[in-house]
Amino acid sequence: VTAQWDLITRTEVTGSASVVTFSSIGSYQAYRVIATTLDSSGSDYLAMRLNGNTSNMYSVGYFANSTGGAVVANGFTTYNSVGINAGTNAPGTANSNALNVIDIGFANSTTLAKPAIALGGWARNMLRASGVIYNSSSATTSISLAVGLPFSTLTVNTVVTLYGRNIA
Amino acid sequence: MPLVSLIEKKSVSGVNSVTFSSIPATYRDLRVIIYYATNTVGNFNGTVRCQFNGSTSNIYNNELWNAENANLLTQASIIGSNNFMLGSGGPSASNNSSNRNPIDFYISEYRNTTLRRNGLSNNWGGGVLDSGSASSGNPYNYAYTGALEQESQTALSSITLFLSGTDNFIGTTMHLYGIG
Repeated sequence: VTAQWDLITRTEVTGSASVVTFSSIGSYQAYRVIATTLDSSGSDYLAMRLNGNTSNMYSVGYFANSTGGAVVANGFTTYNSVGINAGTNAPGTANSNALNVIDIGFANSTTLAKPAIALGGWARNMLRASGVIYNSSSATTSISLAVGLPFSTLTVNTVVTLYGRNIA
Repeated sequence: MPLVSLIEKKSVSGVNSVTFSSIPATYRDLRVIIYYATNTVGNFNGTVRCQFNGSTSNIYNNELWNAENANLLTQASIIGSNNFMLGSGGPSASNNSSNRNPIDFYISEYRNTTLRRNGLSNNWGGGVLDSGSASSGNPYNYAYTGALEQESQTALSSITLFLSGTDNFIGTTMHLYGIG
């Protein structure tokens, strides 16, 4: 069995802030999103939505710590409009050259709920590992990313790359 | 377009340090996969470390967790070190013939001269501890994850990987991949 990740598309936010949405994503069995981002407030999270869905369908559990503090665990909590709580506190504009690196992967089942894993962090603030269930068996047709609560914009110096994979 | 291209594979033994140099500027991200063991007599309780572009300046930051068996050993925020940590522990002299410790190190935007060098490293595995280890359990499990930042906006052209202390890698393979 071989598997190859294909590069589907890449977006760089260099001007005005915006929500990044990938809508021409093909039909892969799994997707992977690599994002490097900062947040103007420096205090919120990267979130992901599938198919623009804002209903109560994203269950998230995570481990996280901040600035060397104790690792805390949070059991599965269902969110309605946050999407996948994938990243961590991102650098603010005072650290506009710093990055929060986020790696999200999820299976694109059309018969089962979609499981996802996400790891993200900024070396001078926080590290978070999340397990997610997106409770929908609908085919994924769009993937959106934005910062935090609510689902607001990604600010400049953000790069988001989307990959897809089928199992040969 | 394929995601992954193998840039270089190194098979090393009897060395403390390995450098991937002249990394081509033709990819978006980089990934380093390491399977290592050491020649340590007794338990290897050290770490695998990394420097970018040969810099030994105190510009490396590291937010990390490190666990062994059921014990969370370290949860640290390290600012201003002269390297960063990619993983810890691993097979030593008495069991390095049959065990390896895996590290998966992702480096994003390695050519970007506006943004700093950043990455994520994961080190999960299991193995057989030397007898007499302070960390009980046989086999044992370990886990490390870290967010990494080098406060540099210089394009990355070389990666140096080394063991803390004076021990050497034994029977170790390191693959450098270009992504995107």
